[in-house]
Amino acid sequence: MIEAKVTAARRPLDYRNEKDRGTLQYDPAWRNYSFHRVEIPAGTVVRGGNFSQVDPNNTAIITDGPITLIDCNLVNCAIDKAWTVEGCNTAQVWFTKQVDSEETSFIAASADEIKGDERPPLGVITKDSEAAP
Amino acid sequence: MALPATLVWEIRPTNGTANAGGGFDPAVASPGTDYSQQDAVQVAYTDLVIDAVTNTDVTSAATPFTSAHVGNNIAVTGGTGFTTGIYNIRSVTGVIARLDRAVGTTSSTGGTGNLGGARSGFSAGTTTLQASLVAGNTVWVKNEAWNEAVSCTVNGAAATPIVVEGYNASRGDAPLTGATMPTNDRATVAGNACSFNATNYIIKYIRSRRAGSNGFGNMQNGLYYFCISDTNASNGFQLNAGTTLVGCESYGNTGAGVSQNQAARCVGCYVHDNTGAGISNGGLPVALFNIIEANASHGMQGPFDISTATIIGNTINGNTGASTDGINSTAAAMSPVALMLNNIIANNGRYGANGNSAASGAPDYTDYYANATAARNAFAAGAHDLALDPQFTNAAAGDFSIGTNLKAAGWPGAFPGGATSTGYMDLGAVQRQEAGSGGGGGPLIGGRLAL
Repeated sequence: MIEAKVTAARRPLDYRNEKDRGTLQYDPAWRNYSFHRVEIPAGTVVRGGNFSQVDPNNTAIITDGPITLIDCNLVNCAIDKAWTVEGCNTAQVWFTKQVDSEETSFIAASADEIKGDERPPLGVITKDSEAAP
Repeated sequence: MALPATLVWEIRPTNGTANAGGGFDPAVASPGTDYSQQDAVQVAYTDLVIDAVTNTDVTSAATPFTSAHVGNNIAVTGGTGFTTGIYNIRSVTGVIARLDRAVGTTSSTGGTGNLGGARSGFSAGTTTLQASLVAGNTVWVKNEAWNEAVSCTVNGAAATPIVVEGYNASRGDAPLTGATMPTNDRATVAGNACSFNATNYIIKYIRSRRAGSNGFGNMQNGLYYFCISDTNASNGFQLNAGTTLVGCESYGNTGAGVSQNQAARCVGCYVHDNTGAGISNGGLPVALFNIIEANASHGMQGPFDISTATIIGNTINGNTGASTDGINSTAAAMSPVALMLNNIIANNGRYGANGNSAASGAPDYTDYYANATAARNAFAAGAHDLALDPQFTNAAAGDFSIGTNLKAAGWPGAFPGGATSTGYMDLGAVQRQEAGSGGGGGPLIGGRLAL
């Protein structure tokens, strides 16, 4: 059975809001870690995980050694140089609120390419701009 | 004249040539040999001459034209007095080739260009394929390493759509897996991978991934047929009005799996593990027999407020988040004539269905199971709704076939009037396999669905 990792009734202790959903342990049967931090054991090979974060250069993946990420979505994730990253999307984007949806706008191809003086445009969504549900 | 509607193009992203002829018209009178289905150009001209009287006629002393060239494209790339462009050879008389339109100023000499060979992309070359398309054209794309910002803006027509079809090893082999399907892998570059910012395209067996924005963008009144969009930094599929997805997969995208404008349809798709909603819709949604699971926002998101929503036979499961519903239409009520039947809505983060009026819509025969807060909120209940475990065979492995609880629990069963037939519809997207029977129908190959 696939069940939601976070629900109105069950959340990680460090959950803040829907754009900052707290820390999960890596589960090979679950691929979508959007807006979570994830603890992944060293040596793990992760295929096809979605680790998207709401604002750029986030430490979304917590590990104590090298890991391998293949075909993962690492949008807005910080990436340790000790990791092996193959076929992943490392784009850095802003989320902005539209009338009925949220959209993203591209900033850079990786967290390393973000300029130090990059400032969020008006209307951008961040972890801190979200209220707890 | 112009390039013919019956032109068939060939793209080989790795082994093709930017300025190859890249196309052949099998419908031309007395067609010659199709030189577009090869990696290299057949002839590279450096001495093209435009006839002294007729500016659609060209010759070459070094490589005289022959009847074998008829029907092939020639991409003219330069030469004083020549107009660069892609032309089609309509006939050859002696050694004089007649093109589909004027190629420059009469008596010009020293023209350069290429006849035959596959092109390397939609956007490559002095004159691009995407700018040269004509309603009715077909574009074949071979499965080779491919990274290109595709941006087609030429419209097809309802009766003569532009067809873009991927193949693995030979035309028409209908690849269904990510590895065998031509994949436009943008490797994290800004912009959409494949933009069909136009009307009346049919896109078949094409995969887009790792774009800085949407995987597929903007098409109107078109069809995506067994395509895949994954790991993009915005939406998997961004659809404008009247576009239909059939048998597509959208997963691991940072936006919605499918972001629909009005009157878009999604049939038999697998939409999962996206950061945004599975299907986000601006109105008039039609969602039939889709599996929508494990997205980090609502399985389906409205507002479904404009007219008829048709949501039938979907499995909407395990969409995650403290504010995540299986179906969310809180911005506006579903229309009183909206139709919602035979769905499984289970294991979602908040409500199974969350609306803004308990009197709207015509939902029924829905199984609401283990949604975290409640089955429904401000959403009409159906007289035949259930609250039973779907008993998925192996959801973690993508097998959403159901157990006995929900078999034959759908509508219609008995038909009205004098009909004596009785149906046994299962709930959800995956119907049962009867003992001794085979699997369901596979993808329709080579034909267009009559939707």
